[in-house]
Parts: sequence; C-alpha cells; structure tokens
Amino acid sequence: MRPLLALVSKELLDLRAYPLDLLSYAISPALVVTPYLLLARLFGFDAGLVDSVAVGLLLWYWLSTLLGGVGLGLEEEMEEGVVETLLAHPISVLTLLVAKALGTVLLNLYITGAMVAWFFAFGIPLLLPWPAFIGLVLLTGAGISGFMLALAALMLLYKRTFFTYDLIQASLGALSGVAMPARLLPRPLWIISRALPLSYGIESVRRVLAGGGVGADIGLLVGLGLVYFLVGRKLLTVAERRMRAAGTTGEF
Amino acid sequence: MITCRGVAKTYVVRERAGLFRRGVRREIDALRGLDLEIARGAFVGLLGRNGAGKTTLLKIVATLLLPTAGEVEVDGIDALREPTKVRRKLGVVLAGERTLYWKLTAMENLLLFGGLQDLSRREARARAEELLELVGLSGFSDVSVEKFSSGMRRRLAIARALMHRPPILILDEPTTGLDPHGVEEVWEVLRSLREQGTTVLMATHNMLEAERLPTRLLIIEEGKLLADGTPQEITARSGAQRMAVLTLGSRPEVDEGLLVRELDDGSLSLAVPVDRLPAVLGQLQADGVHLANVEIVESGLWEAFLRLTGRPFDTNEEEP
Repeated sequence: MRPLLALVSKELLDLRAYPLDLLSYAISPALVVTPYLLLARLFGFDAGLVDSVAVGLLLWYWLSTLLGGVGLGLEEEMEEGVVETLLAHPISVLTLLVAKALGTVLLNLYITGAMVAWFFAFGIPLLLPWPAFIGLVLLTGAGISGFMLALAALMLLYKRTFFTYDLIQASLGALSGVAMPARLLPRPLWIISRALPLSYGIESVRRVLAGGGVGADIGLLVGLGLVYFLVGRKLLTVAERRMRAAGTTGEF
Repeated sequence: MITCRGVAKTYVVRERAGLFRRGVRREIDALRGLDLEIARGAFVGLLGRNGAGKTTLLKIVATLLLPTAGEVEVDGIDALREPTKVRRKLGVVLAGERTLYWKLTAMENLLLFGGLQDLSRREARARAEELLELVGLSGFSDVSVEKFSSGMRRRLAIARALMHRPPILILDEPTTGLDPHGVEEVWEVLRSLREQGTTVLMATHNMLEAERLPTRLLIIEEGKLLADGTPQEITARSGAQRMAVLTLGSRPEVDEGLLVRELDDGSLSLAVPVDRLPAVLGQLQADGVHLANVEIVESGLWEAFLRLTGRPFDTNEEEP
C-alpha cells in the first residue's frame, strides 16, 4: 500500500508544479460546455434535456483525463526518463497505472466540482440527487479506469502508433453516448457501445436525473470495469515481460 | 553476492525500410555467455568501450532486462524468477540525469522512492535527512531538482538508490558529463560507500575512475570478459610499460618499433620503453642527435585497456 500511496502523492505534487493548470482545469471545461447548454435553453429545450447533455459532457471529461492519465500508458514517465528507475523498485507497471488512475480520479472530482459550480453560475442548476450522482460518477470513474488499464497495456504492447489519443477520445465519447443517447447509434455501433463502461455510467446518471433507478446498469458498469481491469492486468504482465526481453522498457 | 552463469543477451533490431515495408531483421549480441562472481563488500568496476555490454549486464542484474540465456543470482535469489525480491536488495543508479522527478524537491524525491521500497513516511524522512548529509545536499532538501547542477543530481540519485539501505549498489557511468569538481564530489560519496563495505558494481569508461575507485576491475569487450583483477594487476598483466618520451632536434636512426612523431615546432618526439632507454640514448649520442628533453610517462590502465581491446575507444558507437 505504501508504494501506491507514495505514487498517488507524487501525482498530486505534480499539480503543484504548474499551479495555473489547476486554474485552467477549473475554468476551461465549463467554458467549453456551458455555451452549448445555454444555446439549448435558448431554443426552448426543456431542463431535462439540458441536464442530460450536461451529464454526458461532465463524464466526457472523466474519459478525456483518464485517457490522458492512464490510457496512454507510461508516456509521461517515459518522456521524463524515469520509467526504468521506477521499475528498478519492487513495483509493477500495474501499480504505477493504478496510482495514476487514483490521481486522475481526484483531479476529475475537482474538475466536476468546478463545472457544476459554473453551471449554477450560468443559471443551469442540475436537478440531481447529489449523493447518488457522486456515487455514480465515482463508479463510472472506476469503470473507465479499468478500461484504460487494458488500453494502456495495448499501448505498451504495440506502442502509441497503434492508436492515437484524438481518435480514441472521439470514438469512445461518441460510442458512449456523451452528447446523445447511445440507443440512437446505428446498431453495429450500439453493440460496441455495450462493451464500454462509460456508456452504462452515462445512462445510469441520466436515468437518475429522470427520476428513475439505475437497475442493472450499475452491475454492468462495475462488472465490465472489473473485466477490463483483469484483462489489463494480464496484458500488462505480458507487456512488462516483453519490454524486459526486448530492452524497450523506457521507450514509447 | 552476485552470480552470473553463462549470461548472454541478443537484441533483435529491425532496420527501417520505408513507410510500409518491414526492414531487415538484425541480431546484435551484447553479451556472449558471461560468467561472473562478485563477493560481498567488493567494489567492482566494469570497464569497456561504448557498446561493449556494460549497461546490458547491469540492467540484467537490476532485473530490468531479461537475458537470452544464462542464470543470474543476487544474494542467493534467482533474479529471473523473483525480480521483485531482488529489487529490494539493490539500489540502482542508471546512466543520465533523468532518473529523478525534476519538478519535485530533493526531499520529495527521496520520500517517493523510499515509499516505493515500502519505507514508512517517518522512516523515509529520517533516512533522507541522513543521506542528504552524506551526499552533501542537506542544505538543498527543499529545492526542486531542476535547479540542481548535474553533479548534485548524480549525488541525489545515489542517495535515492540508498534509501532502503540496499546491500548492493549498481551504478551506470555515475560521472559521465561532469566537470572535475562534480566528478570528485561523486567519487567522495562512492569512496565512503566503499569504506562502509557496500557491494558496488559500477560501469564506467572513465579510466581515472576505473583506476582509482574499484577494488576489482573487469574489462568487457564485445560481450565477453577480457580481464579480471585489480587495476594494478590488469595493467601489469597487459604488458603495458613505462615510457620515456624524448624530444629531439633531428630525425634519429631508430628501430621501426619506436614511435616517432613530428611536433608543431619542427622538433621530433620519440617514445621509448623505459627498459630500452639506455641503449637508445647511447645510439642517439653516437649519431649526434640533439636531445632537448626527456619525460617519463607512467603508462597505466589507459594503455593496458588499449592493448587488451586492441583498438581505441569508439565514442560514436552507442550501446543498445
């Protein structure tokens, strides 16, 4: 547990290095999202729709930051040049990535809090049952983290050229139903969306927003996240061994 | 303490052949069946040119790299099967300056890496203060590493590696790129570790470092062990001799085996093994050659290394 806590603490200390980034995280996501919500209100769409879109966009930021923080593997550490030094300690790549996921979840809570505050400031009060919302957001974060661990393992196995950040972010966002319900997607894409934990997170929160219960979505969200975590753990073991065999531990 | 049996490592590289075509696959043998025993408390220097296999060997011992063949044991633990256990026994300082988080302070770096070795916060802080004192950085505990000089970073990296009191320290070229003062500062730390009986395996291609620090030196070339002994033993065994350099006013009639070089001022220099000096001086006198100066040059490890490896250092070749 101590190695994990030390790494999470390092993730948070990193934020101190660029304090203006924290200001940016508090302002820019809301400034990107809020105009669309205001525009929707201008055209007379009801508050339910506005809230529904707001929820999708809130969770899209979770996807985006977890992709950058975890899904790209150890790119940040590789650029910094510390990967081999870290792995000369009795920790695994999985521990490093879990620490990054925890650090990113904390950062996301901050971003979400700031966005909600901005929504209120712009007169868009989300009519949410807050404890349930926070619980669902955290579970969604855990589900996305599991998915990102598996993605990170692929990144380490096949290197970054296999995917690109923008393509993954846009695809996952669209398929998960960030801006519109996933059921409106063409059937093949809808089937893919069923394999993404974020889809269930967004749908759960929207259902709660509409006054309903979350039902089986929670189970699917947690279950899928766990499956991805286990797949990711296995793939990371393979990737770590392959990097040690090829001598490419510090390369990306 | 460290045992390597028949350790071999072959890297597979693929040449670039264009955007869509896969290039030719090449195999590079970095280590070729190396056997090695390092005893507790030894300070072992690993000397070799770039690409000789030094870093590869260190990384295999440090469990960062898997050998293609062979066995490695560290303090009786199989490094290939139980890397995590081995990592608790080792402090590792890899080459270069980027082995620390530059945005964190010296203390924060030490606390982080202490945590990775499962030290409690309190233990880590006490040990960090002790080590910062040892490496002469106690006044810089709360300064971010990006503000440090190269020498300070190297010393902090050594402190980082010692956080969990490892019995074995692995160092890869700890003074490369440092000025003489920086080198001395790092050497001072390494000397104190040698006196404390820490087992050290250090790769270097700095001859002075190889001559002054290790109690045992290994010369490695093309993945094979060429020589093993104290620096003095290796120098003596290589047949490297003390030389006299004579500065002459005119070209002498000398053996082809002696090296004559024309100097900028038009005079000539002649390198003569000291045991042949009386005969050569007598010949020069008989020939009437004006002798302007005689200088005795202590030929040490440098010449021994060149004799053993049969070619000079090639600093353009990079190790994989």
